[in-house]
Amino acid sequence: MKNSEFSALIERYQSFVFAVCFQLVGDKEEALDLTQETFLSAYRHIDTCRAENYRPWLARIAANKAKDFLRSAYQRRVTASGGEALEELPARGGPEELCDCADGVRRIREKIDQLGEPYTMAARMYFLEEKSIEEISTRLSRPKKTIQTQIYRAKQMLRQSLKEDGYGT
Amino acid sequence: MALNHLYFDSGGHLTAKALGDLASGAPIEELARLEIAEHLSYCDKCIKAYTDLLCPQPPVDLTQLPPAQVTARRAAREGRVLFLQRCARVGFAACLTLMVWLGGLSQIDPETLPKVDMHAAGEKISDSLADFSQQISDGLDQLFDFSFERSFKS
Ligand SMILES: [Zn+2]
Repeated sequence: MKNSEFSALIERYQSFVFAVCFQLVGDKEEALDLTQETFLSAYRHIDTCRAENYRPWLARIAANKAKDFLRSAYQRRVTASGGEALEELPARGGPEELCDCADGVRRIREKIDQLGEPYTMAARMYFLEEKSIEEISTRLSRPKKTIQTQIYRAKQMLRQSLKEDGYGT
Repeated sequence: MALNHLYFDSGGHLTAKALGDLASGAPIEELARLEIAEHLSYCDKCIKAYTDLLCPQPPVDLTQLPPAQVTARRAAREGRVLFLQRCARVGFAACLTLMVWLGGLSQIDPETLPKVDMHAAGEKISDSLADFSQQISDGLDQLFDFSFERSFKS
């Protein structure tokens, strides 16, 4: 694609891309930066996309940029406040860590089933079957970082749920 | 836990509420927004549903963004730099072969050329003919994976 054609594409889709970025990150300045980054990335692969698919394709790149931004922002904030960072997840917290009681595993299994998708399968594989993030990612056809976030979230919800039942911390 | 059941259906896809909240600008908790963004970054079905919701797009003031031509030029320039950095990684020999093969040598901006250790590159090339051929073949594979022919067209 020639530069002039790519300029026209930017003009046509920049409000749309900005809207996606803004809705996901909720900050205008960041959304403007991410809009730019979306087009810079899009340029590298523009020839692989058919014109009729530009909207979902650009939205996907924008979501990807927003995801990276949100992830590092969350990471920074949580780490600064002494919490457990997303990246620390592979240090596995097994059922016994989550619930130090005799019927821990059975209870965890029930709780995991109650989580619902997209968490149940990932959490079952991670906490009960002790599969690696890579393996779960391959089995469920989801990106590794998505699995990390889902396990992180599942762990949070499991802890909360067990706490409400009077177990664990 | 309740929030996630509102945002993800039993199949793990985003619910109409999630997409609606997102498109309408309703407040969404930070980690939930991250999860939604992660899902949208790989799920064709949900990205399609979401982009359908965004049509038609309300007008928005984007005067803070640089003009489209500037972004397009920057994209082309960064594309060339990335291509050349990639060349430096996959091997100078493969890079040279590809540039000559595609006839795009004259279109490369010398300022964007990465620093290549010519001595090391020369030694590498003369190590063995077999190794050299393999290097070219591997390099070309990687370069094509990167789908970068476009930088020679623009
Ligand atoms: Zn989906």
